[in-house]
Amino acid sequence: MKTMDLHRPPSCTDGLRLPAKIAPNRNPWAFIFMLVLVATMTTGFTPKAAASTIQTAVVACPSCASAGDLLAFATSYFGQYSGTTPPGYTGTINLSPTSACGNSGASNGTNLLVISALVPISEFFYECLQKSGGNTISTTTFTVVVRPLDTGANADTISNDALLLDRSAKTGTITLPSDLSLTGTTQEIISAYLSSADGVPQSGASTISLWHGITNFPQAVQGTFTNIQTGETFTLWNGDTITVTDSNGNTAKFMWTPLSSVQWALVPNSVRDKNGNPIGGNPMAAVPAGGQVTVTMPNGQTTIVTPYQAPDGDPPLPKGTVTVEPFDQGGIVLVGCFNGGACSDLPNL
Amino acid sequence: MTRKSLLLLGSGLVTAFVVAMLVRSLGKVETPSAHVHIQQPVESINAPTGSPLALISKRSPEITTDWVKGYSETNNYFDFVAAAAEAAFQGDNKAALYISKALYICSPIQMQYAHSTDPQSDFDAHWAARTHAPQWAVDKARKDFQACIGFLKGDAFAGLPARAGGYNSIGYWIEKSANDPLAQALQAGSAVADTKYQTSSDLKEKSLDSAQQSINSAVASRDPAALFQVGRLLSDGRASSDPLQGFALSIAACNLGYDCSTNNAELFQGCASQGSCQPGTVYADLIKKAVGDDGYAQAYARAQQIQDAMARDDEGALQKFIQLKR
Repeated sequence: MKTMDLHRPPSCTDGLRLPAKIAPNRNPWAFIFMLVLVATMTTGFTPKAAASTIQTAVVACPSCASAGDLLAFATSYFGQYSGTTPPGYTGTINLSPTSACGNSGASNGTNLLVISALVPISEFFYECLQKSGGNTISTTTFTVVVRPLDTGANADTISNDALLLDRSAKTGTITLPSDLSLTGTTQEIISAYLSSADGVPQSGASTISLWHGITNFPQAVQGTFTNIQTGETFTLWNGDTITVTDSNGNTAKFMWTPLSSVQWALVPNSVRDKNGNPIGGNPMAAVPAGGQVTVTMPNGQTTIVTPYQAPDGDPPLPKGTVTVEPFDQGGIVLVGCFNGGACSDLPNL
Repeated sequence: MTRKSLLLLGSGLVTAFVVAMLVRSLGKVETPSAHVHIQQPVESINAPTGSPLALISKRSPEITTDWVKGYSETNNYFDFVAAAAEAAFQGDNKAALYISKALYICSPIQMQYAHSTDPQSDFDAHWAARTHAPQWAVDKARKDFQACIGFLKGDAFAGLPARAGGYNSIGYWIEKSANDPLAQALQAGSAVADTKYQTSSDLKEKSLDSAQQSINSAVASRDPAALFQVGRLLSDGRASSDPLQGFALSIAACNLGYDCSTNNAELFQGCASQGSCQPGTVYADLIKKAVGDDGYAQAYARAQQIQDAMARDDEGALQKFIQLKR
């Protein structure tokens, strides 16, 4: 974390970014600073901070999976580009006034929108100088901090992301019916639902056009969709994602895959609960079906196992006795053992 | 190692294996070498019981083994699936592919109305509340509901041997269709899509290798539908560094008999009835819209080269048209 002590003369870069909260009549350094500022302006060396401030910068974070990750990414970005011009922009990334630090957000500085490319979360951040010392000017120390524009909680980052999608792709809110859930239904069925007339059906044929109309990007398959719940129509290109919500408030990203076996694919690790917390592991993985089952091998041997069930809507696993067939295809080390042969014949033991 | 310790080790491994088999068989993957029955007599996967022929003749005399035609013309996916199930189970990859397509339409409906005592009334009430839905979507929903309603009343796979978890899994039938040329083209698309979120370059390379292999197999089949699908994939800038190659392949597929008109509902998504395209639109119009008349002319010339190479069985000449971007 960067700090700035007003008891020393401002360096070239510090000074240019320093909000003027100085008592000029009592502090000699402030007087010198003002002299330097006036001198540079009159001689034509306009400070970088005087260049136009980038009001909103947007950057995608390829690996952000939480609000904390977004903050860390924003801090790194401000650390790299503060006071300078990042690639692709004119103007500079600038601090917000100290008066905004910790309050409702930036007014004159740069707001940085960090969008996770991994999960459906996004957040605005700004950089400001926060007082961290006493109140007298001789002891005041300012710390450069990066803050979220609002609460910065995980749930908030999801709301922001949904708003972004509403504005950019006009998808509206896509809510699964109560019979389907992001934590209990296979992604194939959710994909099928999204493709159905009740989800976000595609109207008309897929076409091919420049990706999002960007001329220096290759052409991609494009489709027009309708959100049946809201009536909104939106356009997606191959590989674009939408955010899906289930009746429990969980969210996940699904990518349009028009050239694949299924039309929508779950974005890995994108499932979040209603509070924005990641739902660990693969939510579509098998879970204990409850109870235990006695398994009888072909040779009469029995063992008790805990059955697991993939939550894909298959009927519940009956409890009771399970009979295992002989392994008849070879290639498995246990073939001989339970197919009437002696265990000593097993090739791989 | 003593026989006793071998037995202990073996039984431990069997336990683990059985758990794994239960998970897999209930999930998405059918393992051909072993399967589990619940209180059923042991039946070999290679010797299924049931009366599939009777099922076919009883339920859908019009559906024979032209599964593409059967699927595209049916207004009853339950009957179609019931008729195709046995053939698909026995290894007819095309039948398996079109079962997966039918289940893709019907599974959400099946889940939504599985617990309904009066599905039709619930369906009507559900759609009456969809006040923002355009008429074409309501019509499509009604058509799909009617075509799938059989799944709410019966088991389309009743003639197949018992399988833990049943046969309603879309993924199961996609896997069973693995050797169908069109399915291979779609698998290639899935593998390319997977690379978007793969962070390991090794993993990406493997996915692209797998996709290229699937493309090669699909093209080697000369199946027009598969050729067209590969063409679609390679006309996308994410998959190909020269999308004209993809357009050329699609044009060749159209010339070789693939239906590239609006009569092809899968391709045009019923755009004419929705008013989103002109009746009489063909795929060439979409290509011209994307790359202009000059681009189309170039693609068409390459399509001729592709067809010539196919006529000569010149795989080397074909290869240059079907390479994924690396």
